[in-house]
Amino acid sequence: MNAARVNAIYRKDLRDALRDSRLIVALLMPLLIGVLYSFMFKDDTKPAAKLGVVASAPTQLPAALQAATKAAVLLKVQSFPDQAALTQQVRDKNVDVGLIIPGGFDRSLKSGAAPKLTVILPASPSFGGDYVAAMLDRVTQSLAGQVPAATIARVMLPATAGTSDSAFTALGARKIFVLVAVILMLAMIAVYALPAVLTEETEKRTMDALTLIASDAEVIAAKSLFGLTYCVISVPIMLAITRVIPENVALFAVDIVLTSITLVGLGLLLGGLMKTQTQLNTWSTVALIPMIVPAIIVGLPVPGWVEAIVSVLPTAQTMRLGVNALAGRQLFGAEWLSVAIILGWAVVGYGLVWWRLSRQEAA
Amino acid sequence: MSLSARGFGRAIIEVDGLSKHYGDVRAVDDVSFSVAEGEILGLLGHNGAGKTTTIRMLTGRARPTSGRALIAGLDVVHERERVKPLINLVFEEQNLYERQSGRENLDLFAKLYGAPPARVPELLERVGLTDAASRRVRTYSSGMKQRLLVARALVNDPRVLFLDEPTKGLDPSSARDVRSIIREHASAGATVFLTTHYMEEADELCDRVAFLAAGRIVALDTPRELKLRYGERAATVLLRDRSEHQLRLEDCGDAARLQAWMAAGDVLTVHSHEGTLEDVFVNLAGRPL
Repeated sequence: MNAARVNAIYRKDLRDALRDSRLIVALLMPLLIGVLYSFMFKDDTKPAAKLGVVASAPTQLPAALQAATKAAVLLKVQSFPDQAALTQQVRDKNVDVGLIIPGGFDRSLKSGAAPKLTVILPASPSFGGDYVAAMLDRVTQSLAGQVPAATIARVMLPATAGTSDSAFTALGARKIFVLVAVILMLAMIAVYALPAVLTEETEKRTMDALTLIASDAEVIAAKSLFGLTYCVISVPIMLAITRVIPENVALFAVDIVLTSITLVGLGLLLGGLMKTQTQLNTWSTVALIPMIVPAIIVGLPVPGWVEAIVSVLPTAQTMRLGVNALAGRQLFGAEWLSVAIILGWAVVGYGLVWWRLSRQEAA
Repeated sequence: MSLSARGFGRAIIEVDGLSKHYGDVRAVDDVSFSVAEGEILGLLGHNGAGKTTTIRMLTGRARPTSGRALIAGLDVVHERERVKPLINLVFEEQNLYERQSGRENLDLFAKLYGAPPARVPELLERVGLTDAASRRVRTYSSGMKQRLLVARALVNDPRVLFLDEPTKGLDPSSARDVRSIIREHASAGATVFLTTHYMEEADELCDRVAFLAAGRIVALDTPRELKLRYGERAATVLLRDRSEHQLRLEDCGDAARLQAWMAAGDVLTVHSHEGTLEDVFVNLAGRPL
């Protein structure tokens, strides 16, 4: 492969795309959607959280927690008869955080006996649940007037599938929708902008002129670089404009780069199959659906078979990794599996492109 | 049938039993010929006769079903990468990057072929596009685009230049410009292989002409030889009574009539004319182009 040729075609494509109104619209549309979401939804909306309490005697603790967290969380308190009922409610995410308060807690606290307090949290706690749990120490110290105040035992329930509910609570609607817009932008570049460049080359026969000297592999390498460049440049622009900063920048970068590589491979495959712009306009819309829908419905309460299908699609995993990266913690588990699924699609995409090129070469 | 070049240097294109079949359709069927260095060979035929398929195979863009073709001694299929820098092609379609300027189009291909940057302004000058070099190609006329296509095909100074209908749809002035550039390139020692529908163009430009019908070469020789062999020699006779008569010189009856008019002193003028390539083609292919 001749690097100078790849570079020449790549630079031509970059320059050409800036003059191509179709591609500019394809890039601007998701960007504008992201900006729109950013204005529509706010980060500073006070999240609501529900505190479930099992207390065998009256206690001041729930009220003290409500008072201490009122600046950040709208905390509602609900009593439960026993620990099993409370645990089930936490598992079902009807309650953000559960508290088992032993009898005579307030008296023990004041006597300096450091009574045991059990906190029950789901595997992926909501922001409100996390915040309340974090405030417990300070509140009990304040009630006791000494350190250490109470012995706090945290019980994390086993992980279940992450839900958008927890993602929405942890990140806020603004960040979630900006992330969806980022995935839409990557998908638009991969299944519309990139194939549009390839299809135009085929339709106008400029591809024949290129391959008179360059190899098919050189052309494909240049187009891949073109797609990747647009993906990698446009995502930071989107984040900068919407002022969304991932807590885990490295994970976010890995997520975006892997997804870009994968979607570009699938875009190359689509572009290679299309002979005309009209065909592309039809099929790119069809191809966008399995890329966007998974990102939107990740974690929503959907039937098991829908979840199973969606979870094998690359953008569903992009969304999971993206949510984790934005939150800075694992709201969705098994990050390695997400990476493996995205990479698997990359292998499928580039493998099919390679197979098609080999067949073309033999024709 | 092996038809080789006469009066030129050594063969640079050698084609032997080349065929391309698409299912039952024989687009090119057992074609053999050779073209010498510095020669201009024209390939003529109806639409679908196999002209473009022949060029596609010779430029390595289609794999032959059977037979082989060599360019400068290199197999166009198995040594394609080594053949690529030696050839170039003016496509039938004006396949230029329309959002790019003329200069940007040439710059791209100069880089792809590893040509020196100075080659670009030199070619723009040669095809008369220096003043329009910064304009986007979409603003060019058809003639300008065609000249740019020719310039692009000359960017690597190819030893073999293929042209697929290079003057199709051009006005007479633009067509003349293009023919002049082709002739200039051939006079510098390059080989030119072109397809055309225009008989006059083939007659004017080509050292030899091959007629392709249903995928097979039915005749290949110099235009003059073809006209003498297959064309009909005729004369137009104007008599004193102002009547005009068309005579076929091979016809014994017509020859006797002419002799009689001459003897009687009835003849005012006689204009003899040899057959045209068009006549030759009709004779060989059964219908005009």
